[in-house]
Amino acid sequence: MKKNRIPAYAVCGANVADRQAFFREFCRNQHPLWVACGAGITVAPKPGRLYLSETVSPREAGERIAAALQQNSFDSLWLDWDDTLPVDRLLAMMQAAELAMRCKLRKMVRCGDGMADTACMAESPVGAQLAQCDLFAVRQSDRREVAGIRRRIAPLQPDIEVISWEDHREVAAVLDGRNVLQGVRFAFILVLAGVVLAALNRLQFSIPDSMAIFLGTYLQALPFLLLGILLSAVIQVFVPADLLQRIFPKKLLGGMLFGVLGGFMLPICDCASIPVFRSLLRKGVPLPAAVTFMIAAPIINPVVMLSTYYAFGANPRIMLARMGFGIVCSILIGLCFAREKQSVLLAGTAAPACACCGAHGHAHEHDHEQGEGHTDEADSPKLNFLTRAKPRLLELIAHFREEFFEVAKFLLIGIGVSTVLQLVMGGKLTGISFTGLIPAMLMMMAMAFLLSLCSSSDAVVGKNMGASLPMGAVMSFMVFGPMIDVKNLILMGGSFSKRFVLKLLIVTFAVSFITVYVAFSLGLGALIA
Amino acid sequence: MKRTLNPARLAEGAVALLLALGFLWLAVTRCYQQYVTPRTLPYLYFAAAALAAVGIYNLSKLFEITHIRRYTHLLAILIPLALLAASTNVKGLWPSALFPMDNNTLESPILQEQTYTMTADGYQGRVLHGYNAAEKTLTVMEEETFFWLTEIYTDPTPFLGSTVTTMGQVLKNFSSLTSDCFSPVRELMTCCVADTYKIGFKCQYDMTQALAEDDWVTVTGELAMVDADGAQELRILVSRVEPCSPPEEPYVYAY
Repeated sequence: MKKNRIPAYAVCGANVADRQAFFREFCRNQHPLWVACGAGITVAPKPGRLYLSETVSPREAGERIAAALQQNSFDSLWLDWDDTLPVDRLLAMMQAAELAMRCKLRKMVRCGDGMADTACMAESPVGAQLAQCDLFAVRQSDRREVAGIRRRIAPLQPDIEVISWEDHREVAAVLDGRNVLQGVRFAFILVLAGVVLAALNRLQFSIPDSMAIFLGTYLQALPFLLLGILLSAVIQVFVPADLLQRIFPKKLLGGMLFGVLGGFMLPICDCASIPVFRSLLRKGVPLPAAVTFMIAAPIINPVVMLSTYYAFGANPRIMLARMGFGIVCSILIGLCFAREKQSVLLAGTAAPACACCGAHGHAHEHDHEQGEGHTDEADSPKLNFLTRAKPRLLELIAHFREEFFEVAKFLLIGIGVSTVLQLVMGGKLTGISFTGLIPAMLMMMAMAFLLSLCSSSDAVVGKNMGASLPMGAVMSFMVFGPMIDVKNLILMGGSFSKRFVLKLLIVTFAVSFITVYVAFSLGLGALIA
Repeated sequence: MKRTLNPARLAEGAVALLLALGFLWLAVTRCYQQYVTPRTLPYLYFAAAALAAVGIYNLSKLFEITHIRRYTHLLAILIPLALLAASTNVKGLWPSALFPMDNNTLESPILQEQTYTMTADGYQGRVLHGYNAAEKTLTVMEEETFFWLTEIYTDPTPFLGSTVTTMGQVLKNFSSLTSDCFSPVRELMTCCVADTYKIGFKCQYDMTQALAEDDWVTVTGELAMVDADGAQELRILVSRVEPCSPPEEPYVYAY
């Protein structure tokens, strides 16, 4: 029986006229069964049409459709799915034993106004629906708009096809064929990794050494990234947005000083500070304060201070100087973003793509602290602590998982790029010696940027590498490196706008270079030696 | 309602658990020291626990109904997992962990009893081993290589005239090494395997040219200040060089 299952198509959208127009334009089947599901849908009772109200349970709906399919020889099933119904109801209906025997959901399509839908996808069931769709047929959109819509949806469903409704042939091809995007992407990444390894081998770099450098950096960075993601998930799930907004001082300087204090309190490195930074922005913390936190945390936390202290033979002056530069630079860099009005988060990442929400048929930045939108049981005052804690814990892991897979790919790309740069350029750069402060600083800052070292142990490397260089150059290595490097740049590229990332890179470079240069030109080197 | 297994959840749960197991394996067998310093150990356990949580979470959703099943994101776990698996052959992770090599390390119970307290800045109070002040002998134990070098090069005076025994890989081709000098070096890992440096005593030995670069040797000689181009330089005046097998742990650490 299973072999003879007919194809089923679900057509979702806010506008019933759009859904019906889509059916008329793209249904090529001879005898389709058209089932309208939702509230307020009026369908004339005629052959080949079925109406199911929202009060019918998914199981019963499935049985009714199966019975209709059995009575006539339909060659396909088309579901007209209204936005008022959650998408998990549709999926549950398709799992009804009777229906699952007769048809298979081949494609889920959303049709409508792309810009309007993506604008509201964080606050409505549209997000959860898009996460399950194969195709988004958008009305009256040019190529640029289509690309923008695809970018917005990518965090929810990276393999979705976004096509202008007017491209009939393309829409029909997607409905008829299989979505090969995922397979192509999977194969492309594997081939690319193989090509990089082969190229390194051809350039006489040892493959085992390349793999060891990659894995060494990965094992060093991943635990800290996971720590940052965990902190970020804790903020998302347990810290109410209004609490964070209350805690962070409203005044610009006060907010930034609070960011510095947060950086001092949290023993996290640069990999970990990025997810926390994103989380703070999502919770409404002002950009300058959040930037100050992200820049300061990897330099001024106790672990980094201690490692700097030991690396320089227990010289507290160098440790304090590094900390001082970290504070001053982070505040100056934060100030550079005081007038930033635009959101720096990429569209689609402004709210978490939250699996726990998707399961309930809605994807919005819900009020976690109230437990709203999750389990009704959790709201009951009678429930004991464990019963109340379990859904929160599951939410925490769900957020953790989402964020991990969101950023892990960028960590891998960052480490890959930094490994290649270390192999190709590392030796050449370390072999050069400089006498002047400016070229030495530029060389050490380039090294810090390319090597992407963990801030918790870069002091020893900086000291050894810059043994024959002026102290200012070593300091610039220790100040600039933790703030931004290749790995972090790529990591940030996944969540923040290109404009913001580029501005942050330029501003961080300029501020750290000028600050360190001015201080050492005025004789700081003699004071801390 | 028919319960159908969600293959995407199964795949994600399985690879997350596999990577968690990989991290645990690295931690338990100490193979992680081929890549990162011992300071990373607690973080590796944390990473294993976090990944295991992701794996278990996915397995708890094994019957979740979804239309879209994503697999591409699993490459973020599969690629490092594949590299780790491939490295087990290349780096010899399995044999070294399961069958410890019979190597010529300088550690022995007697040396453990011969203690010395460091005085160098930043390391005051750290207890080192293998120094016998009465007989003026020092055997540099592997894991203390960095600390002994730091202590002796900070203030060599108390150690001058001592007979030092140390092991390392022969380094001759280095700008500051003349034709009668070599250094038995160890790789110092400061952060991860991407940041390693060669460290070792400068040794003066008439037969230096007979030594092969990169060979593993145990060196014994007297620690002395030698006049080199008008400046005083600390060297081991070598009396004996013996070949030895490579150490079980390829790196030494500064922590």
